[in-house]
Amino acid sequence: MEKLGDYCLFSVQALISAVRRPPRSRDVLDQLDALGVQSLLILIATGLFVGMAITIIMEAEMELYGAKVYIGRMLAVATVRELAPVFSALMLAGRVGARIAAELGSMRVTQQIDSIEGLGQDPMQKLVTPRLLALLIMLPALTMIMNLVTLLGGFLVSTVSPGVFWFEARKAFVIRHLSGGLLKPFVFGYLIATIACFLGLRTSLGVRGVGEAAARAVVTSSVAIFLANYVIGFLILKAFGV
Amino acid sequence: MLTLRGVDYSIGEKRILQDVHLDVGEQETLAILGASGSGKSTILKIMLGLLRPDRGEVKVLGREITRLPYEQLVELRKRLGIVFQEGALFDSLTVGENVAYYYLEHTSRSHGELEPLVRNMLRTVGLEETMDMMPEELSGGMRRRVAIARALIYEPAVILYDEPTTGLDPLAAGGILELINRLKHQHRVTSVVVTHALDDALTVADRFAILRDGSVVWSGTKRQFSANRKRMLALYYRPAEDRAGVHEGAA
Repeated sequence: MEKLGDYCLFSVQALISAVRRPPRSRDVLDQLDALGVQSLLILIATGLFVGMAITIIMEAEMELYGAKVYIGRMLAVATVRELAPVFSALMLAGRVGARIAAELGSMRVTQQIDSIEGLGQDPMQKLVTPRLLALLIMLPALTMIMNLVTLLGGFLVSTVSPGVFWFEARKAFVIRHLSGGLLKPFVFGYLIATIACFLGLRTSLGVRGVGEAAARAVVTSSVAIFLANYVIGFLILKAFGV
Repeated sequence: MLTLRGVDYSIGEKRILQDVHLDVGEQETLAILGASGSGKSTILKIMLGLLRPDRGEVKVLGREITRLPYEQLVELRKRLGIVFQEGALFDSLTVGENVAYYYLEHTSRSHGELEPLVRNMLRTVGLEETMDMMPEELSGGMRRRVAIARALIYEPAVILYDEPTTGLDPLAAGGILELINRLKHQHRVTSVVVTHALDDALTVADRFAILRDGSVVWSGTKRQFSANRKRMLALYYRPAEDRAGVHEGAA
């Protein structure tokens, strides 16, 4: 509970720091590249295969009820509301969360963070807020790309005509479906960045501690993503209905 | 320049420092002598404001830092330099970028503009040829020299050295001590050196403080130390159980 309290305080401080003492644009650009651009290929591959797998299975099931023509809509709703935000976040929690925790953890155990402070810099401004801002920008952008790629994957293996597929898919792009899909990446990005930075900066016990921090960052942020996904999904369902 | 008054510091139930009093005058070099785990590095971190004491007063360059707002503390740190035990260089930056770090982060000066200054600073520590190398390519002694150059480049009022020779071979250790002495005389910089090596302290210090189990058991000048060398050695090396109540000299 004490750690949870420390994390909550840290995550709020990170947000305040990002507003009050914005990081240098060069630091943010470096992180946009390292955390976002370099994750693009892996997300495209994930989206493509998820879209293909779901379409093959669901199309066969829906055919039993004579509802195969609605596959585009079904896939688009699932993608926009759940699949793209959650899969993008999970991929980044694995790739980026571990990277951030290991990077900051090894800086902690080799006294590089003490050096940063000794050289008159605030580690929150230098290390945490650039990563937080980068994820708040890149995760929504990557989720958008994931939306398109997942639909494209489904389209490639679907047996319904292209016109019908895209006509039905377009129906998913309404506010009640989009609201969750647009909100979730910001929340997930915030969770991944703050959890990974928090665990990385509190690393101890040398190299072993770095490995543990990286593993814990992935597990904790993944669980936090699922929890937040449920809460947001529930709230949006209450607000907009089915 | 630096004053600690009645400083206590604990981690949980474990008391690390107890009623520590220290003074460092301008252009003076204070050596804090003590065995591993006696709290020497903690004192440096408290002087730098990286740790806040549980009790007591810490004055750095005339300012009481224990109640200083964080932003002001960060500003004050720009007038202090620290050389950590292993150098603590940024391993993703070249040696030149490490040395230029302060100016790259706090000013708008470019790499090109800073190159002559960085080259000159590396020449001062005898490592001009390492400018484009990565820290992992350097030996332990070289890393510490680079760390000294990084701390020295912005001409801080005080430099803090954390075990500057630990783990180095005698030749490299001698080189570091010679460098600290040279900087002291050339740049007239105030220094605090924490070490467990008595010979190192005798080589560089004007004043001494002997730390045992988190308390300063003796402090005085080099002359006082040398005049009572046998007693000082006995005090420094005496087993823990014999030390109770020993508070001599001008603590």
